[in-house]
Amino acid sequence: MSHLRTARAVGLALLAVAAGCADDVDPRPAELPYLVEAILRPSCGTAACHSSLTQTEGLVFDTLEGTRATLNSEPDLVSVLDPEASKLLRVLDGSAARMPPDAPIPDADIALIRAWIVAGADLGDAP
Amino acid sequence: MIRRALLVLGLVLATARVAEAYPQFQLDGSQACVDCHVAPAGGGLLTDFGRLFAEDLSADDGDESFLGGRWTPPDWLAMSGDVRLAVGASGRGDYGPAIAPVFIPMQAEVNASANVGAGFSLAATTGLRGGLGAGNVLSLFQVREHYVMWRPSDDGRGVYARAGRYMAPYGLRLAEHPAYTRRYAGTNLFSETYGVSVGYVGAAGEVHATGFVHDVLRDPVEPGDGAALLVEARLGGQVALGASGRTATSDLEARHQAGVHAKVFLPSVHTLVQGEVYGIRQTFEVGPDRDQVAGYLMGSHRRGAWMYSLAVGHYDEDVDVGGLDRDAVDANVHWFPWAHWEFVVTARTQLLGWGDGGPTSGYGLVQAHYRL
Repeated sequence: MSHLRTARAVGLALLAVAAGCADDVDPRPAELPYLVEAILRPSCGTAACHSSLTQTEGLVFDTLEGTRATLNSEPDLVSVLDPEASKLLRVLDGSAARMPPDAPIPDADIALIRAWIVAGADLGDAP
Repeated sequence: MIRRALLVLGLVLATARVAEAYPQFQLDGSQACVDCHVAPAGGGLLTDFGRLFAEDLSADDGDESFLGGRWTPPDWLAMSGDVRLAVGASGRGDYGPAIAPVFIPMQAEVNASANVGAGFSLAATTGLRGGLGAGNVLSLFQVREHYVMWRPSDDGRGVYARAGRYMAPYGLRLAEHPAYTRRYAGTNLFSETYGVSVGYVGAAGEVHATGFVHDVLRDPVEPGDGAALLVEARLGGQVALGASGRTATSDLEARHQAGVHAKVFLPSVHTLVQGEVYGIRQTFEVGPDRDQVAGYLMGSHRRGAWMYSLAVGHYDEDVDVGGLDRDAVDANVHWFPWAHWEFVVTARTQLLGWGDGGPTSGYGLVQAHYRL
């Protein structure tokens, strides 16, 4: 009986540790549709910058279609499987001239974009 | 050098703003936005009283009338205009390299409102918006607002209805659109939609209810269709309390949000303290829902032709994920040296993931604003 209690206590402790670790694991999907709506559109695709309307530097990040077109036409932005060579990450993390200039994005968002690139940077295009 | 200039250009355009109300003045000599502005929820075209207030504000007591009185529009027509220019520079810290200042046109707009009888008026705000990249050159021009309004009273108070393109009234309606409560809570720069509003503005408060759809004529900043409600009660002339709700749904996401705001004027120190906080539930076609919080607290002190504002903001992009919070400290100094003229020095410091060792950033801008 005491073994059962011990096993239950150990199990609960492991669950608690796992729960604590879960806080450090980003539960958000590293998928382009989510990245566009949750991160790129509010941070980069603003009206005066990389919106479909303005297209600063010819880049569009306020729609999924626009982002796909941008990534297809600007291969330097995302180097599949190689985040260090991806210009998008370099400007976001400040290793190049930081963007967005007025409101840099948090490290956790940059990490999620990095995870998407490491996973193959799937654009999710229709076949 | 070109890269630096482009960075500053991006900075200035990203922080560009259009001429809007300073709610800092609402409880300072006035009570309702309509006392100074033609639009029922404030912003843009000034009333005669608004121009007199501006005249009192400027250091030289110059003529604040349209074009300085060189031409007077007929009684049925009210006109104004705004030109805004800026010089910008970023700070260091984790922001990036120091950069050279450049001179940037931000805005050039003309506002007009024509009374057409029986309480009806037609209003439009048109001109150049700051910034054009590879987009269609026609997008540089915009008729940002255009609407028909029915308002039977002469003083702007009472019931009204309007239909057309404008920003659905929500929250404090701060002029400072980089405020998190504007940028991330549905009223960012150029978020005007087509809508129909009904409302009431009185001595004890005001209410604005709007149904809206996104602009299908050009790429919209606000892609959703929805509704917004703003209620504000004024208590004793120096306190205002309000609540707002807003919902917007597009093909890829839905946002449902609500919050409260408050304004307290402290006459002994001639300072207005105002704040707002909103909770936002955002659902996506792909990925989990997220809950956000955005808040802003600003104190503004007016002394003669100067106004000083200090503000703090907080925004948490997803309360269930660590390190996505950001905090800002904003300082603005406004100077109204002559009639029609305003100069603004703006400084902002941001801390991302404060406490988690996240990066910092900062920028400073000097703006010149001329009102026709």
